[in-house]
Amino acid sequence: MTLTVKDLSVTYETASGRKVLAVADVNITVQVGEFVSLIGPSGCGKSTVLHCMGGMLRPSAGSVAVGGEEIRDPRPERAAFIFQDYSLFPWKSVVDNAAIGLRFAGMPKAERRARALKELELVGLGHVADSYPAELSGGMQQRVAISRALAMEPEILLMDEPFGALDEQSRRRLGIEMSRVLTDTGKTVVMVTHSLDEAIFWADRVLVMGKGPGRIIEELVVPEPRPRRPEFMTDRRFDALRAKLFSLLEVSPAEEPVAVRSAG
Amino acid sequence: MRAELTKVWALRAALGVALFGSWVYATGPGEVSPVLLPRLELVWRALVGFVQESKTWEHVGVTLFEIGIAFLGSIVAGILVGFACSRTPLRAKVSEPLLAWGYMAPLVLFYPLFILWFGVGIWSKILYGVVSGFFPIAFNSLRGFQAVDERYLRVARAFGASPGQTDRLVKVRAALPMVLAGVRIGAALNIITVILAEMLAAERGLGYELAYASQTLQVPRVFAIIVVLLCVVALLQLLIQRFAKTRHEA
Amino acid sequence: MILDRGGRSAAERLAARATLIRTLIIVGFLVVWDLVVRLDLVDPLFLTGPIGVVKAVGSLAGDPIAREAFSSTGISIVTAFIVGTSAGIVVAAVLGGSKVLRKAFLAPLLFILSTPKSIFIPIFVLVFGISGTSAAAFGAFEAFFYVVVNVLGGIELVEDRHLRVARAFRASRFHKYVDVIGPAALPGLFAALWYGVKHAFLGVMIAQLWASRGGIGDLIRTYSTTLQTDYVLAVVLVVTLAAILAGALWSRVEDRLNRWRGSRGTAVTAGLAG
Ligand SMILES: Nc1ncnc2c1ncn2[C@@H]1O[C@H](COP(=O)(O)OP(=O)(O)OP(=O)(O)O)[C@@H](O)[C@H]1O
Ligand SMILES: [Mg+2]
Repeated sequence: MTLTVKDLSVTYETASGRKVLAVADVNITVQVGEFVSLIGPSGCGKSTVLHCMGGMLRPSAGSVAVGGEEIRDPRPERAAFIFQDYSLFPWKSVVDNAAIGLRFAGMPKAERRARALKELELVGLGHVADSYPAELSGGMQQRVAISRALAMEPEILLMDEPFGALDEQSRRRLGIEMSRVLTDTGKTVVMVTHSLDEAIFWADRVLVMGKGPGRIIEELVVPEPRPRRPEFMTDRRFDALRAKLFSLLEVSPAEEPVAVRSAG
Repeated sequence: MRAELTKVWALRAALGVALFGSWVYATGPGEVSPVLLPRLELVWRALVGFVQESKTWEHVGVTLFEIGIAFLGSIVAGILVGFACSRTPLRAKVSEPLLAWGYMAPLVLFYPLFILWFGVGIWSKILYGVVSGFFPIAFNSLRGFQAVDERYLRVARAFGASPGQTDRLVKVRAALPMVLAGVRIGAALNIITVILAEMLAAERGLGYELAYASQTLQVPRVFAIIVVLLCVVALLQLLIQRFAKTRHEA
Repeated sequence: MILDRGGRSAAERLAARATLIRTLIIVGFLVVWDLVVRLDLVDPLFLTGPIGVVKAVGSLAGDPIAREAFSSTGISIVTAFIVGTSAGIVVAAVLGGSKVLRKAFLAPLLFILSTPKSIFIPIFVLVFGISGTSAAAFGAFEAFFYVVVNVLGGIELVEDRHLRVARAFRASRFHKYVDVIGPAALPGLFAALWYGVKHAFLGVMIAQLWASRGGIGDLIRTYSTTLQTDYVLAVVLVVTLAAILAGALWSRVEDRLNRWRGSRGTAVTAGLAG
């Protein structure tokens, strides 16, 4: 089902009562099975848009709909979240964490554990199902968070800087792996990221957001079938896209690592 | 932010009004016996009278003196012992449970012994206060000095600090938040135990005045003294908060 | 890990040595105490030797008055615990439900928590008379504040990001409490129960020491005014050992309960006694 964001505006009210227009007139359409990445300077409203897509936040104006049905509340079996800080429950084992959404939905224990285990195996974590999150590395924890979302068998995955807390190495490795998993399962994905490489490598389409107030300023199509091989990153087309993104984000290539780090 | 603050204070005011309202009601139309709950204006009058007595300030002085000495005593003893015990892993292992046990012991029960040994004068209160404040301070100091981050010590070594400098400039600083946490607990205990001790057996001090008023059934005066005591405690706590705070602790 | 011939690690050897030295310190303390009394360094009216104290414990056990005092104090403590803890949990649950309420009343609660609550005993005696009831009521009063503050502390441990997950994955109100708020706040709840017991006990003791007919406090007061120091020490010793034992047991249980927290695992303690 298509995900449509129409004329979306969000106004926050700060604690002192001041109104802040965070996002204005955003229009996005995401087709079934499409992978869209959302990139832009810090504070431009990426998370805000994503949260509206998942029903975590009500738009101040405009609407979000999946397959024509308006979204007003979180419905994880339709669109599931993967958060940057994993947010696993430390008091639950890995498999119980992966199964938490199913538990909330009232699925019997044996059934939900079986399903969660299947998803854990898919991301290569079957062997730690009975461990606790504290015993896992950051990358492993994020994979549990991904299983937690996949276990809901959602049509859409919403990822907010899913690898932001990982080091470069794990980030790339996990990225390539997840890209394969997500393509194989045919999910529709919207991912917020600060990494240019990630934005291009994963996505069919890159939406670039600008600031003050947040809006979409550009759309880049990545004309390369998925899943992509790591070599794509050294491809000339990749470089061209990357250069384009740079100029859009008003960052010179030399400064890029600094700017990317400080954002987020 | 401001809206929330208004709500917070409105709620507090509401509780206060409810409290005093039911007091006024109970002593008026509610017909609660004046021996249990005196009328508010009687308490007020007792309070004014009590504050104006010259004796009162002597009692306040005695209580503050006892608390102050007890505080100093338990800080000095607690930090010294805590530091000494943290010097080697063996010492720490030996002393930690001992200090924890001292902290767990119901020291209230020991007060009659303090009276027996040190008399009803101010020294039984002071020593009692010192002992009860000592254990949390010593225990926390031990923990604090022990848990100094290896990284800081490595930096000190790498930049050529002498053992004395390491102690003074690194260990003491790094342990400070934990030590101060102990000091705060110890100070609260100093206050609690000294006033309790005065109530149980004494010749002077606010606690003694409270006990005396209560035993002679001067009910409004009992309430008045409680109010004065609460003010004294609030002031002391303010002081402690000022004193026992580090900048990087926020 | 380096193992010695007995197969023990260095840490275990250190612990064993520490236990040995600690035992020696305690034994040494008892010996000095005994010598001080034996050599008549202090007036025997004011201090009895350890052996005398142990004897006194023996005769206390056979004394119906003392047994009556212990059991009536026990009943007061249990009553105080039940009343104070349940009242505390109810109030904490109400305050825990709203941030504004918490902001408004946590500070006053913390203030009362750190005041010498004994100053309120005269009011309890006025209302309940000199009886087991006033001791129990004061114990409940003491326990109440510790319970409220610790339960609230537990609720503060609930992290927003976990609540966000609950919302994103559509947890019902029931699941939100059972799977998220409950486990996260559990250390606070257990701490609350422990401090409830501890302060119900201390409160009853304080109230009884101040004024009571019957109970351990009365017992200690009577023995000390009649200079039966061996009995005073005996009662104090028994109760202290029981308290330390309970405290040590609790630390064990707490460690175990908080295991999933890993090394960050210190529970909220409004660590004030008295
Ligand atoms: N709860 C809130 N209350 C008030 N203002 C908010 C709130 N949440 C976000 N904002 C504001 O809305 C704007 C957009 O925030 P958002 O979190 O969507 O940005 P972002 O693009 O995700 O940033 P980052 O890349 O740093 O995560 C920011 O200016 C932020 O200050
Ligand atoms: Mg964001």
